[in-house]
Amino acid sequence: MSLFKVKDQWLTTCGQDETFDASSLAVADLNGKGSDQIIVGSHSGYLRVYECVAENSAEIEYTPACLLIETYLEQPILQVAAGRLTSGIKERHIAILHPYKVAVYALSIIEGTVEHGTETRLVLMYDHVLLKSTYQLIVGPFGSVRDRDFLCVQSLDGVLLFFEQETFVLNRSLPTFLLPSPICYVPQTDSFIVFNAEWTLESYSYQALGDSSDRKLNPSWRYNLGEPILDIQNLIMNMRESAIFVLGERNLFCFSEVGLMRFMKRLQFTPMCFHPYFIAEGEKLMVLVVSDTETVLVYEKTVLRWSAHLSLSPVAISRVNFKALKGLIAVLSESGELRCGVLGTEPSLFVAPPLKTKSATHQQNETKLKQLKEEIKYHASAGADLRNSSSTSTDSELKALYKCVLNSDENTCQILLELSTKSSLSDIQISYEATPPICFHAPVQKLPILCDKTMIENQVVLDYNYDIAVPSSCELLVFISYFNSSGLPKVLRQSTNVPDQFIFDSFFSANDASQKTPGVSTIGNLLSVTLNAAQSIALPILFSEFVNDRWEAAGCTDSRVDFMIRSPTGDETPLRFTVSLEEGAKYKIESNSTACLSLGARSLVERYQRHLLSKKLSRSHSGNQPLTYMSHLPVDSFLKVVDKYHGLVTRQKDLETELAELTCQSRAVQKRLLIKLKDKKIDSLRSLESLHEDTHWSILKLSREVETLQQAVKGCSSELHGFLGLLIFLLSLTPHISDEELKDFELATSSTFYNSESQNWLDVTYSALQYILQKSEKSDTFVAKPFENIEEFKQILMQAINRLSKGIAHQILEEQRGVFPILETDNEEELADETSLTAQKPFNSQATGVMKLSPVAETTQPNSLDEIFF
Amino acid sequence: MDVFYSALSEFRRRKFEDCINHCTQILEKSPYDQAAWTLKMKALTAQVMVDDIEVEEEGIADSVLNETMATTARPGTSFKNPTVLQSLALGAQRPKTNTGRPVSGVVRPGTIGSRGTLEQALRTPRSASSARPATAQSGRAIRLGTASMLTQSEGPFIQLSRLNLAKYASTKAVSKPLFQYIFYHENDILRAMDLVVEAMKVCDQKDWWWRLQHGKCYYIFGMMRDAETELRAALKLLPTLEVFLWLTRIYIRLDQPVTALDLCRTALQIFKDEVTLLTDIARIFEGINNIPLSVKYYREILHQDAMNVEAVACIAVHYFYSDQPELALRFYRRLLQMGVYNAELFNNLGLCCFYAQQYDMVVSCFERALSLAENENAADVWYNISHIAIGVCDLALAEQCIRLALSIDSSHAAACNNLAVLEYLNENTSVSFSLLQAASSVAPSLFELHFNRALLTEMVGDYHTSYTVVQKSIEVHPGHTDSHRLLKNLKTFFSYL
Repeated sequence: MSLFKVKDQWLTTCGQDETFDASSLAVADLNGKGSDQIIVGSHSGYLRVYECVAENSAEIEYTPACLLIETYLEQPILQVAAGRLTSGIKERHIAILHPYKVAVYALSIIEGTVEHGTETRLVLMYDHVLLKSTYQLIVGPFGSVRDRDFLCVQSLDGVLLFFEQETFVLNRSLPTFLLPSPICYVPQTDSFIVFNAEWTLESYSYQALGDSSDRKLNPSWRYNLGEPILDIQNLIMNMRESAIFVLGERNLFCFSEVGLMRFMKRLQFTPMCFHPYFIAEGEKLMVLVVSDTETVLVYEKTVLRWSAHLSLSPVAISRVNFKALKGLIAVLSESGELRCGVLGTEPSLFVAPPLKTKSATHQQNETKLKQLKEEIKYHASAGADLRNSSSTSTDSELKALYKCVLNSDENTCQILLELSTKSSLSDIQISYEATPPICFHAPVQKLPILCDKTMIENQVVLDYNYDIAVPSSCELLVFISYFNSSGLPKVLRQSTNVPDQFIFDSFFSANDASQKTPGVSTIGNLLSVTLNAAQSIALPILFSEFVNDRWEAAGCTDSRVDFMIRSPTGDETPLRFTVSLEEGAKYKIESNSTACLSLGARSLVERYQRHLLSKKLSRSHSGNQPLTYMSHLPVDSFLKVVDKYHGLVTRQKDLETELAELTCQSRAVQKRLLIKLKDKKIDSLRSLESLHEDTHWSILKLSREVETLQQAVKGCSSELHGFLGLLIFLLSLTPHISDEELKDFELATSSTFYNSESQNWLDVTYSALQYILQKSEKSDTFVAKPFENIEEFKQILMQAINRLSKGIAHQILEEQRGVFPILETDNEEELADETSLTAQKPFNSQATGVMKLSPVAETTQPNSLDEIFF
Repeated sequence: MDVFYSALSEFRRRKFEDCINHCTQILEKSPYDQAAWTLKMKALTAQVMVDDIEVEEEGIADSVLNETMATTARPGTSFKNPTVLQSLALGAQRPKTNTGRPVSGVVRPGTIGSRGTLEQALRTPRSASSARPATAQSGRAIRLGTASMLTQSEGPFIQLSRLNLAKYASTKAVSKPLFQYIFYHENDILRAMDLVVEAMKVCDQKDWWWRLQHGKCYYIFGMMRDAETELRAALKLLPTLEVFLWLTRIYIRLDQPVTALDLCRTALQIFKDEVTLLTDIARIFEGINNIPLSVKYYREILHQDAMNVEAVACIAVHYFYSDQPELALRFYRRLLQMGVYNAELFNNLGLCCFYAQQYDMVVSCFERALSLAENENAADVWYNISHIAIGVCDLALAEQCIRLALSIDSSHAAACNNLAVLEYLNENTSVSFSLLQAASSVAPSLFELHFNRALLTEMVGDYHTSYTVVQKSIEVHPGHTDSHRLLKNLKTFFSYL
């Protein structure tokens, strides 16, 4: 990234399809006329020498006359260099390194009469043929000779070959050598700076290298760079001092001639090549570094002075002085593009591509804006409709026919669900629900899409994994959720009942019963419910589908039927219906399970009503229920179940607390163990280990206990649910109970049997009952006390039931409270409780008063959060 | 031309594929050519090597495993507990990112994640702009290993398991490139560590480079204290910049910004005006919320390296948030001239223009920003446009902009907050409520959310909630006057009862 770009003054391309490397470029004033020649040698073997012939800076540009010579040397040129290399001649000559040869050429220029008449010749002065493959050529006044330069060739396998001009002097192999890397000569100390394979910079004096008696070379100084280098160059500051620049892969180093670091700079880019130089007579050390992003950066020591964009990626960079202009930057790219330029201030302004602006008029835009705004408004209001619209399905969208048919084997039931629609629906999910132990073969079914009509089948079985013997309800629910054609989610709910045959398996073990005392109940611990009927109908008529061979065999009569509930656990749960025809009609249902009782009662009532309907006799009894319940509600036994449930739940809570403590302990032990592990001593771990194991076993034990308890709670829940169902059913059969009150009660009590950590049936029901009892107070606020005491709960429950069963009295109480100073005795207790509950009210009402009195003055302010990311 | 010379030349010109092919040719002829073998190794390494000194994103697992860190550090001595709002004196406060760090001028590794507990780390939503690696080894390091496997069709170049490390470690010429190959290319840190140990025996523990590599291995394993000892030893052998930088990383990782700063200052005495060190110092100061000092060091960087994008951007942000948008605009213009061309820059230019009252440029800047915006930053651009809309009182447009922002990034807490305020103005208090609630669960570090929620709850009379929420707001921003006033009102009210 840069503000400016290099202004190319002079540019050309050297050949085609040739490759150049860092050592292919040399800049030297060969004839000492103050104008540099640019010497370029390619890997293909072409040598080219350029010089800018322009007289003033405005005319600098490449002309064919600038190319002094272009010649083919038959061997690849690895490196070009210049120096006073021929004995007796003070002019600089060109040294060329070939893979197996080093040659020195003189460039002779014969001036012509016109500019393009100048003739240039390359004259071979001498060459040395080498046996080793070469890597680098070093030119310098080795041994501190004056006005003469010698040659040193580094071979690929790390041997330095020295030539004092035409004569071969010596060779010396470098220690710790593997891959050749650049070497430079420092005349001040007459030594070579070598980078060895250990990534260390070493300085060997020429004398030490020349002393072949000394087998082991000792460097005069060394510095551990710790990274591979790309290039190394020496810059002579004055007679004594010099600056050795080393370009590493990540850093730029500068050392003094005795190996002290002058400075270093960590580069935040990948460097390609570099060139150090002076300005202002050796006072300012400058370095040109080229990055891989085609940028040349100019550093004065470590401070970035300039950066400019090059439009090519160079392999070599140097400075060149032309006759007309000094200090141009010469760069050579890999493919042979040679450019000389100045930094200048030509802006490298990045021009952003123009945006696609639509040539719409103001009016068009305005109409479009208006239209869009309306659309947004429409959609926003549609969103609000969506939120308010109910999610239940309407008949027009989806019709569902839900049936349950008993299979021939009587062990399973088949569910048939017929779905039909007029539009197309998607993502249909059908979930079935029933009370355990009734369960479905596939509880959830899915349809990706529904058009027209489809039939879905499912199986109902009794799950033997449940600990629950009798289902508390025969109802099968199905919820169908789907997205309609406009993408709105909808739900459809349907229900049906399991056929009685599925649950009432066979008649009560007829043999046993008849062998003992026939007709007399063998059912122990009987619970019974008696229903009054207006009209007696014989049991075989009501249970017509059961009348078969076994009916007789089981000893069933017109007035008595014994059933056995199909049970997965194998427990015998009998159910008996009797009808006494004498004093009015009374149906008696007996069983030892409440769930079963409720099931039986519901079944009986349903059958009775159906029978009446079929006989079209219902009209005569319109307004009155055909079956009524007159006797006392079995509240006491219900309370026992509640007690049992409470006990189990409390026990469960205790166990869970204990478990939490234990796991806490376990975690602490583990933490301690981890800390101890760091000591790396086994002894200290022993005791902790046994402690850990002990805790672990207790946790396991406790968890098992909790698991069994959970099962028990589940069983008890079912029992409670069943009983509650029965209670509510019986209440519904009791005359003089308003439907509304009953519904409230039902909603309050049988909400859900969902046990979570923080809440169970007792908590939910307790607050719901409190609400029911307080509702008559006509107060706005309601404060529910949390569940604390089972006795209180029972009290409240009793109150609620009492109030229900004496519904009429309650109504009077509610309406005429202000008129009658003396309250009915029955409700005294209840009222006392109510007042105690509402005692907290003043606090609340006052609080609301204050809320209204002090309107809040502050307004919410849009805070100005501006995020700037970069 | 010699094949080996071509390979060397290609390596220098960074044509690694060709270099590898040439080396393979040589190795087919003479399989025991150590030089060609090493060169191929170097070329393979160079293909995948990265400058690993730039901070890696700290994985979530690391923050748990670092049990050595103090949990309740004194203010200013830890990244978790930065000096509280020194910038308050300068007026505007910098907003924070979703994870609770103050917004920085540049997005770099480390600015995304917050330094907090594991719980906090897990709670922050893992959106594109705040995702952090969950494992201790960063994704980049893992990728290095897998990428290298793919490139080699004829199986791995070196069977590391068959290598006699002791032998190779004693061959000094090969050991260092081999280490880099194992470390960067194969990414087999354990084996690299073995090699280091062997090599340290050979060089009698006198080579700082091996010590540094040892420390790097420890660093990757998360053994910071061991890494620290190694690097300290390396510094004793030769004070080098790289070791200083690595040691700084370790102290940053150990959450000891003060020690890291001291170290950087020591290093600066040796390596005068080194930009990397200055950058580290500036970043650390930014991390502990000492913005003025951070900016001072960024200025220092600009003296050294006027092209430093990070420094320019950070100073620009500083000016923007200290109410000098004109100056910020100049810095951003410079970035544009330098060739930075992305949505963020145009977005910031647009904002600066707006606040500097150069309205003519605002629309075109944002148009460009939108045309350049990708999914990750389009939400922010829309969010900022909504501010412009609020500024020109076009609340309908503002609302639509925020909705667009939320449609792109649903966890944009600041946008949620502003939408809540707009909804409140539209008298949709319940919507406003739910928006604020949702946003404060996403970004608990934005005090505005808490404050607005407290205000709303107070208005509807839910004093208790208001009381708790306003306390959260004060916890995040202890200097917020309005929050304090609200709290005072509530307290007086409660005392009346």
